[in-house]
Amino acid sequence: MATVNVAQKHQFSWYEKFYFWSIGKGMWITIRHFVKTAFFNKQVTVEFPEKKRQYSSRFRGLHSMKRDELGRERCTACFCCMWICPADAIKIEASEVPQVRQHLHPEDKFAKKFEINLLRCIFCGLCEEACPKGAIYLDGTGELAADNRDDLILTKERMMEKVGGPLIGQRN
Amino acid sequence: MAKIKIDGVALEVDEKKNLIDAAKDVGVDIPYFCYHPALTVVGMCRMCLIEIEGVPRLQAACNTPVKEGLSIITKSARVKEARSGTMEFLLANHPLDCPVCDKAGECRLQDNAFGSGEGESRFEFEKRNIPQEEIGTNLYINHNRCIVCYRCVRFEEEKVGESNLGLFERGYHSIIGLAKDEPIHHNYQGALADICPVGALLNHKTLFKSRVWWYKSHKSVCHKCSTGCHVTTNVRDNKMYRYMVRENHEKQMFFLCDKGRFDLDWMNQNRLFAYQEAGNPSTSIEVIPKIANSIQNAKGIVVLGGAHESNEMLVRIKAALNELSSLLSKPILWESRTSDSQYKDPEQVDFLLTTDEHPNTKGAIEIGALTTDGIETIAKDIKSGKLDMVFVIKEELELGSKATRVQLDTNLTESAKLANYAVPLKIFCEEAGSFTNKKGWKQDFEKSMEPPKGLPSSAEFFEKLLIAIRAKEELVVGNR
Repeated sequence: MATVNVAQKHQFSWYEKFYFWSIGKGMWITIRHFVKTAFFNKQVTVEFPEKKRQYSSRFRGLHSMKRDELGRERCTACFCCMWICPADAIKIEASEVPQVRQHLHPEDKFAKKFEINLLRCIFCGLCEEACPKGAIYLDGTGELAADNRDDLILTKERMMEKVGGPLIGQRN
Repeated sequence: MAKIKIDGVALEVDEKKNLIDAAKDVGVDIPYFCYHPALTVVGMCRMCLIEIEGVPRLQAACNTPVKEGLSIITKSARVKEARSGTMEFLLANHPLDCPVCDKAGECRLQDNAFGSGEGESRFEFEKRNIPQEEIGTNLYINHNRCIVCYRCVRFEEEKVGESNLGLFERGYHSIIGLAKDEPIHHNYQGALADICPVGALLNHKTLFKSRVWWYKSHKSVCHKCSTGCHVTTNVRDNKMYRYMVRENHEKQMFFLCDKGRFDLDWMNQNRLFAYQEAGNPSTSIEVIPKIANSIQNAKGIVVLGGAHESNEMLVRIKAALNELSSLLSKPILWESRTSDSQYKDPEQVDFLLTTDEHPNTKGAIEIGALTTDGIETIAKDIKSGKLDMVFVIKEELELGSKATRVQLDTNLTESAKLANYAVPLKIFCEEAGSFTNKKGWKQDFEKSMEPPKGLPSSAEFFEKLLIAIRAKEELVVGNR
């Protein structure tokens, strides 16, 4: 069996000490990118926030709540999303639909309070999957920075979209 | 016992029971809606159809008497077809709003649709829609969900003895409604919602609070009166949400009254979390030595109450009190009967509730937590100053301000605020134990909630007091 002596340190010869080959290899990558971006307009990055990239249709971003074709809220406060949420981010308070709001809700139960704590949310999309009414979708943006904690608690008013939305179980 | 044949298997069943229950005992499930073990049989839902050998047509199992030599078939294609037909008719007008319905998860219609239904509906027309009504002080009816099983009407007539509900119109138009002008206000509105196999009857008090599958359930006993109904506790996030009936065929326990069912808020709100001194929060390190001091200087000591505690707790309290009295060489009186109704045999208010609001009066009496003279004489002695140290265990009593009062309580009550010292206690369901009910049945309950950290039980408090007094005596001996 051949033996390799690892105890002995490799002795560099004088030309090896300049690292020409390694530096040249690295420089070649840099020059290649420089030429690409400077002369052929092929840069990898975008000038955020002036320019924004298109999200994939499967991207999971900020939550939004949908209404049906008649403008009624789809959410009936069935607590399925709150139950499935692995990060315990969703808080719902259900209530009976009062007479004055009847035109807004097809069922007799609605979410009086619906809050998503974005500090807890892990954007796994399980709430979207669990919803039997297609009321919640994670189809918003991915830019969620805020300068205080209150802004990171999504209320129903902030999530509720005007009319329409994808069909139940579908995404745009 | 009678020998019958179910699906060709010879089995021995109890002939006194209904066929559905008898079959369930030997592991054969017959689906049903309208049958209830404690109510009369009407055979309205046609869900429990079975084949009987020698009878040409299908028969309702609930209405078939169990007798020697009976041979039934519960799983043939004919039976299955009949059941799925029944299910389809029942679901024709059912709104299928399970995400909204509070019964979802414990709904018999869901179970039977899963077990016997087709899974598909051929009903193409507009479903009938009748707005829901408020029919009781704590009761709703959603007519769309109703399957007209007649359980609520039978329960009211047979058990409560009031006929508020009735079945009106016929066939497709059948509707359960109020027979009187005024809403229902008897003590069994929770039971009405409970026996409803679907979500047609619902209580205001628990409406939309939670979902059924979130609860952790434990076997327990109702705390509200000396009947000691069997209950299942439903706890979520360490909060008691509701009591449900734990059916017991031997003891004939199938119902709960509203007084017990809905008296749960005190377990979740306004709890006493800290030792208190004259209404101000304090700590055990400060309070217990002070109580030990005053108990040593007291002329007469009395402990009142204890009928709210479990039997196991009472044994420990008794041991601690005996040791205390021998250590102090003073007698300690213990009277657990603090209300008039505890001195008599319990009287029924209605078919479940009794006048005695203590779950364990009998257990306390059996253990000897009583005096010969009773509470009247003790109250007089306290007012005259003969007894100047009073421990009150979870009772609201007017005793005057002469004696040093130590209130042991689970909640921040008026007595706890006014007492010289208040000691926080665990609730009975935060520890396992047993209650002895009015009939002398010793009924065990499980621990269903986690107690707040560091809270003592009443026995633990007396044991702590004992340790404090012992330590003091040792200190005196050591200094000599």
